[in-house]
Amino acid sequence: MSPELDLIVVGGGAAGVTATRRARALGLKTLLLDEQATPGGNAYRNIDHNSGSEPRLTAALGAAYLAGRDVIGECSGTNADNWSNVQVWHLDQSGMVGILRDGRAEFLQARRVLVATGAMERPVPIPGWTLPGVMTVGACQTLLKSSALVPTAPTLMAGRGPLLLLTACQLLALGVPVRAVVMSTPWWQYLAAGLRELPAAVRMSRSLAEGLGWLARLRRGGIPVYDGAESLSVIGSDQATGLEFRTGRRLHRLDGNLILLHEGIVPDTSLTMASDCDQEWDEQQLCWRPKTDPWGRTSAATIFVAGDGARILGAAAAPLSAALAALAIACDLGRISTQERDRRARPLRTELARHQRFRRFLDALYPPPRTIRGGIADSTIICRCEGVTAGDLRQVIRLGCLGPNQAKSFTRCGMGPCQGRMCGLAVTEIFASECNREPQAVGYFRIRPPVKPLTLEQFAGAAPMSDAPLSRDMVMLAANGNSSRLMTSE
Amino acid sequence: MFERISETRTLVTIYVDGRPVHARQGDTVAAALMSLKSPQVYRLSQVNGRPRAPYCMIGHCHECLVEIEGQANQQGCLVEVADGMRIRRQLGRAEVEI
Repeated sequence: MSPELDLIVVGGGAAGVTATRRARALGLKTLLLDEQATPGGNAYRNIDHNSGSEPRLTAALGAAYLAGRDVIGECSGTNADNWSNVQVWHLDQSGMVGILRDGRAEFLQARRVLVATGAMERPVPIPGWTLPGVMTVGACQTLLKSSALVPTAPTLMAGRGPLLLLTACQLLALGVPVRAVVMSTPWWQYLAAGLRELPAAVRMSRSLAEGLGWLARLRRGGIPVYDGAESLSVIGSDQATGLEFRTGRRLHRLDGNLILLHEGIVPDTSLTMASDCDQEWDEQQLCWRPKTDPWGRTSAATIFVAGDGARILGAAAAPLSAALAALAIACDLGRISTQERDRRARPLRTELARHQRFRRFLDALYPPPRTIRGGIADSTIICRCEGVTAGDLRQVIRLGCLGPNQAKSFTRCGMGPCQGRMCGLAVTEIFASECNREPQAVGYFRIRPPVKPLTLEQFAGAAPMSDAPLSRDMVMLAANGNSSRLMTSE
Repeated sequence: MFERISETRTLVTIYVDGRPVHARQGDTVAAALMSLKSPQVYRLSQVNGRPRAPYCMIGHCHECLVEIEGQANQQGCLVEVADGMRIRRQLGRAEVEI
């Protein structure tokens, strides 16, 4: 236990690193916990290594990635105040944080906790998406950034969003055999979005030009780009062998052994949900996000959230929401006055508003897929861990199943090791569609600690170190050994 | 399915199901396994025995679960390799000795 800590920051990406630096400058004793070995998050993963000794990779990854050098800065490596390779498996509103470090679990305590765990790619269930050879675009980019690995298999990329086009260009620059880019947004979306939100986009003209440049580069590179693809389906029995889709009335079938999917990104809400922070359904983005005040404070006074984990605004905007949270926390703990907080926040808010306007343009350009609500075939697997299909879910809903948590008991959907991270959004939407209710009314799985795999031995080792009372969930967990399923091989 | 475009980082030896193979320092276990030509199967589902492979690579999907140094169900995409590390693939249900 370390009650003298003012702030624990969870996540070493653009938001977490910035918040940590700002908080320390404001005199807050701050501990940074990062799941990765080096800071950078997903946007700036492995930035320290790649910007130094990998010129070819650096050139392909591009300027937006290299900008991470300034954001992440000197905050590299593990030291007394920055802990890397740490998994956070528990958070509650008393400011208690359960961590796993070097195979040992322990509890930490701070006056405030900032959740800066970023985003994850939206899981969109399609036929065949569990086959080896299917991974997300982000996963492929992670292999590139962390291990300089590129695909050798014939590669197809499908979905929507900036990351899809950016990664396609990066792979193209590295000579990867990308066979086709299959966009699930129709071409007229560009016009419609362009007209509606163009004034905002023009003010971020560099980002706009960058996006348009990606498409042009792909076409110049001779990579076929399909627009308005629907009914995507991966072909294969033990391994992906191709992708099937429709454009209008035409059926396409492309061969490829690596299928990279991307349907935009959504906030990672594991920790804010596990700590019972109120969540709201974002109908525009079709995802949950924690309710916050303008400083990133959640419904729990002790817990803040910044960066894409609060709301998707991108890595370039993450330092702004992080700096705002740091100011509010410093004010909470008496380091600065409210006047000082507000004065320092003003330029940050102006800059943040620019990013919000540009995001509205991007959101109009790449609206999330509306097919999840009602459009998934019965035979498609929703819960990857337990192999539960959309049909299984619809059957229990017809039998009177009341919501996601009961569906979990009835079908094991969401009960596997990923704890619903892959199926949760789809489950909420399937309930909304079948029961004709709003997603907010349907709700989500109850997320309970540990939110990361933990053995009973590790958990037992951690509990006595704490002299604070355990939360109800933790006591339940200890009493009935709910976590045993996660640690014993099933 | 993947190959390296850069070989600047230090070579390490890891053992996959007892067989020594090369990886690079800084690789995660999942990345190291995906850089190998064999074995081709990453793991078999404990629920239905079907082949599965890492999907998200950032700690969410838990498709990369693997036994590391005798500890089952580790997230291969989050653990870095170390020289001499012993890794076992999880091929279907585990046998439990009682």
